[in-house]
Amino acid sequence: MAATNTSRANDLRVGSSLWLKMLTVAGLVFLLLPLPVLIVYSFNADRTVTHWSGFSLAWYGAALTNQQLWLSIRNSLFIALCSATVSTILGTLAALVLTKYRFRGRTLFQNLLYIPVVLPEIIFGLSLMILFIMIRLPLGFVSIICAHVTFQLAFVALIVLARLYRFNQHLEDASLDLGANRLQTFYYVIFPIIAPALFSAGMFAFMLSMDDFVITLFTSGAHSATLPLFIYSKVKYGVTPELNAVSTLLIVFTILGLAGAALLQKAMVISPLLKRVMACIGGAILLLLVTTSLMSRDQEVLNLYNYAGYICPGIIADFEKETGIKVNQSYYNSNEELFARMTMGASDYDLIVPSGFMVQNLIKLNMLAPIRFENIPNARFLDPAFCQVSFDPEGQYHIPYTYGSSGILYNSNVIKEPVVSWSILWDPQYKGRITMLDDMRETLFAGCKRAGVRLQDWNVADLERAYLALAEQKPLLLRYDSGMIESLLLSGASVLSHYWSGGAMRLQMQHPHIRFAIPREGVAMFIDSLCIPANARHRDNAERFINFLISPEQSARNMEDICYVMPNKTAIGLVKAEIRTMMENLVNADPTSLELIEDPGEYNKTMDSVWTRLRSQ
Amino acid sequence: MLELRNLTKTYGNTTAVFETNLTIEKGEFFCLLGSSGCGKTTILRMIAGFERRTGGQILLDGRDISEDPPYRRDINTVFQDYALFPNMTVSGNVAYGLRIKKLDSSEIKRRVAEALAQVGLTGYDTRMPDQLSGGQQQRVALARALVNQPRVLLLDEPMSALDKKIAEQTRLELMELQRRVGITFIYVTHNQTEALTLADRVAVMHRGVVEQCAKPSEIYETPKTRFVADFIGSMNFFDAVVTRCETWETELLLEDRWPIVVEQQRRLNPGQRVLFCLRPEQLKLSLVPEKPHENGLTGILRQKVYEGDLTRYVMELPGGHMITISLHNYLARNIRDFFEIDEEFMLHFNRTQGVIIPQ
Amino acid sequence: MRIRDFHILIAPPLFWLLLFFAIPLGLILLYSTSPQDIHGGVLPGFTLEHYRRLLDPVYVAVYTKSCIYAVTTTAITLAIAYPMAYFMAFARNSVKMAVLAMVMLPFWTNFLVRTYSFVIILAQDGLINTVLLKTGIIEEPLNLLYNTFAVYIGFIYGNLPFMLLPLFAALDKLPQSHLEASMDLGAGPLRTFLRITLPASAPGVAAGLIFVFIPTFGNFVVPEILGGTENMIIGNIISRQFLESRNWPFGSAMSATLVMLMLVLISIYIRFFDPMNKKNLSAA
Repeated sequence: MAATNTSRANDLRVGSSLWLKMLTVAGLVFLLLPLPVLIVYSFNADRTVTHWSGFSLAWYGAALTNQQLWLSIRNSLFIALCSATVSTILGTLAALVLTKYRFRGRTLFQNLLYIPVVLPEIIFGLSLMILFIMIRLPLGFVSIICAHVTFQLAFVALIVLARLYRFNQHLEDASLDLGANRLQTFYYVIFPIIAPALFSAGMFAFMLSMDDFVITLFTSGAHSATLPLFIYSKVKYGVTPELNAVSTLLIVFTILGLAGAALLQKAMVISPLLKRVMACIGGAILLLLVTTSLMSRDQEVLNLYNYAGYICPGIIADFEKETGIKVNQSYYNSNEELFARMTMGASDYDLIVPSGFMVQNLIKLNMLAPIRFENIPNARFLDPAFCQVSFDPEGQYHIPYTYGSSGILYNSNVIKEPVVSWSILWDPQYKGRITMLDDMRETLFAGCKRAGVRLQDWNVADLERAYLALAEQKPLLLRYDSGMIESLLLSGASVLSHYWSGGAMRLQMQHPHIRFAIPREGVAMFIDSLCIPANARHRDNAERFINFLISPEQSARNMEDICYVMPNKTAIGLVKAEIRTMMENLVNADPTSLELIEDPGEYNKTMDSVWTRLRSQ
Repeated sequence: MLELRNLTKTYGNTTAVFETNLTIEKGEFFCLLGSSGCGKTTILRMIAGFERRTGGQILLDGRDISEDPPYRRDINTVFQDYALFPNMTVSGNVAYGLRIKKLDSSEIKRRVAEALAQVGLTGYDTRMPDQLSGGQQQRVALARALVNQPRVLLLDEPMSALDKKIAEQTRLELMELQRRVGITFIYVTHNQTEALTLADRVAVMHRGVVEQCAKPSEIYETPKTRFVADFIGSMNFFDAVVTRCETWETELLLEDRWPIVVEQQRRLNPGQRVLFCLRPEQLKLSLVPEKPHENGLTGILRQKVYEGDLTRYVMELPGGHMITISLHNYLARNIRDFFEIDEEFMLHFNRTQGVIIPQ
Repeated sequence: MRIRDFHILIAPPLFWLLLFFAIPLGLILLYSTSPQDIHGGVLPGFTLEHYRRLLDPVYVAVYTKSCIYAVTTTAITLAIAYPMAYFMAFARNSVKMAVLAMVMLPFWTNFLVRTYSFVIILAQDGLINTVLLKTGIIEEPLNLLYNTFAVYIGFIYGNLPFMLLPLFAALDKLPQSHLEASMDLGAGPLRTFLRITLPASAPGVAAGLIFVFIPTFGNFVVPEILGGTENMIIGNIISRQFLESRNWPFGSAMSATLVMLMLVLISIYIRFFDPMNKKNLSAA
């Protein structure tokens, strides 16, 4: 914290006018408002975040028992500790160099040191990601720590510099005069005096690391989710008051930590014994972290990369209990995102859930490992029609997971007219309350339908027409979103949503006024499959998991939870009646209205360019 | 022409300035002297308008200016850290007050040049403050204040940041300047040499109260309180009791031991406790005579320090009392070597010397 | 003898910065001029097609939009932060410390969490609307979320401390005696502010501008969480290029333009305000 100037006790009445005070208060209210809001809403009994319906502590229970949360906290702490330590050392060295020596290129070094402070984090993260991939460093703890150290360096150097400038040079001279060499002088004289500044710098670096999101997003791998990443996945894919509970716990913890640190700073000055005690405790914590992370490395793991909310959590928990294999989950929003991560080359996933066309693409690029069916006896329950499919003729590389289609989800309390056509999503009377999927293929497909062309013709002119239709629609939209549809519909922010059948069904069960319709022009059907990447490190675990999942009992359970149909006749028979009825509507739907879209191949580039243009407008 | 009536300043429970009454004459070089925390700076700031008084009045030429903000008082200040505006040149700084008054630009130019000449900085107008030495900065600060031709100029320890030699030189220049310009100067300092050299009158302050306000010679030769006596120069103190008081002479018993006689005007009562003060230069040192000498005290010489122009001797009197005597070397050159450490000698003084301060 | 120590001291940080900062930035530049391969990576070669693509009116519009957002955010943040910093700098020590602590407190809690909390505050059935509806001030809920307004709120909120702290540091440094001198010489409070205080705060303003303007371009989190369809800025497009579209060279080209912009602005800053005055930058 800045050592502030002399006391301004003055009768000049500078800075004391009423409107200044009011503005300051207003500003403070603005700054602090989110905190109590988060805390209060963490006690909200309602499942959605914005609608208050009563007091409940349920979410704290959920948060405290959330394994993923604790894992991510542990990861964050570990990374923060390591990176803060390294950056404090490096930053101090840099500060020492800048204060003691005049050398050519000093300004250049200074700029090199300070620019990271101002550089947009996204560029920082991206550039490091490129570097790591180029040198084939797997994205994980090491990459994140390296990234964090780099941007913390500048801050540490700045803080230590400020202290060093006030350092009395004569102290060092006196030490040398008395016979100590430079190292001893540093250890006995310089270090103890600047230690508080080092401590502040270290704490600051620690805090920066704990809070960092953007840079970590680009440099993290499958099993190195940090707390901010965990929070982000919650924000994007399904916000419940559990997030508020987590946040409140964080806030409370931070305040306690700050107060503790402040008290500690005072105490540290007073008692060297206390300093030693704290050092020991710190060392013990560090040791604990290191050993626990080493321990869990030896533990059997399975890195699952999937859509959020696309698998029953109970199944995962039971699998873990039964086999002792730890399942690390990460999420993606779309097939494109999945592919992007996989082609980064430094990803570490054991099990992925791509759609048909993407499977086709991955097979072409030799990025999938063939499934060893001898490890998956439960495969006999699968519907053969889904095993030999156009995108994987021999059925070697995939296990069909679910199928379904896109469609239109709507609030029947508001939409009184029948929903039969894609055109309703272009209806100006619902302006600002329509959402489309944040998915290139799905939305371009819808645009083609509106323009009366077929996406599968892979025609540039057609695509241009679709683009125009979508561009026309854009001003009517609330958002392009795939993860928050539920809360947007329930809160009334949206009334019409482009969505997938399973999620729709799940919503409909709890809120009957939310209905799902398949427009007559046709919808895109998808078959999502379980696949194992070629470079997966835990193939056996992946196959074990698949086998567990496609057993009829677990499949039935899964279907009841995620409401997507799994191609498993035996399992369907076990599903609860009302859900089965709903699913059968889809199963028995007119096959001509379900269109399966193949891999566009080269055409993908064109689609991508159109999609980027649309989103950028 | 500047009058302080019962001027008081309190901060919460502490009183910084306690009901001070002072009258400062026009054209006077007036000095507020005291150690830190005595209230001298507070008084200065109240006169300038940076602090509001808690009680009392400040009258400038008869008008009460206590409520006026600083920018409406016809008073200017030279600050201890000079407070030169870093983003303006020297002439920019000096012209600041004139620009505020919206004077004609040719007039401003003329007066700035004149002010710079007065402080000996002609040709420095385009320099920036960070290019100047401490002494030069101080002169700019002075010029900036004087150019506005205020009725009173306040100076807040302006020499405290200068080297001894430069300070001495500047002191003389300042005196000259004040005499030429004729403006009333109020000068705050903790350095008694400055006060004694520069001022027409000095107010010695201690803990918010003016202990004595008088000419430098009076302050030095006839201090009215123990604090003033001790603060200015060196002083030897004796607790004493009046044994006899006539119009032509007064007899005291020092430290219940030594009877002395002095000539002084004050009317005192026998048995009254007083403080008897002697300056080191008022004492003489000699060998112990056979007969008791008037106003003679014997003791043992403990220290002898040669200081170039004089030599200081420290004598220990019976009872542990330490007395300092200073003798000009050229007067005592021959006898100096006689005074050996740990030998017994006598100190004595003339009955016209010494100051009595009633307790 | 001294040279050896110097080399030992400077080697680790220098090496680290070169490896993890300078070289990666160089890679971005390299990628931006390389042809794209099918999977989105790069092929060896040199091409300016990605930069040419940036001249497409759609992207020019995005740059303009991002610029407008950045400028507006910076201006509003400055307008809010300046009075606050002014008040803080001239307040009594106890008040100063208290306000400083309150300003820093949110800074110590997670940024994502705070941004997300505005969803709760601004939603149709969120805090503000609920209060306004219940008290009868409005009839229909206001549309405060997933639009430009929400994005600005998010930007300003996130950037406020970064503008506030350098401003505060600069104003706090201003010696009281300068203000007194100005008043002593006849300038009233307003004149003193304009002629003395404002110029003295200029380095702080400049630092704050740099801290706010440049990062806003690259901020994609706020538009993603709080924005609607019209609020995509450069940061969003860049992140999409890498995380979805697999067009890394194009994303790199965009990134490179941001880096160049940043370098230009920083050189201007260094030219006019000597950044070796470390107190400007180390506000915390």
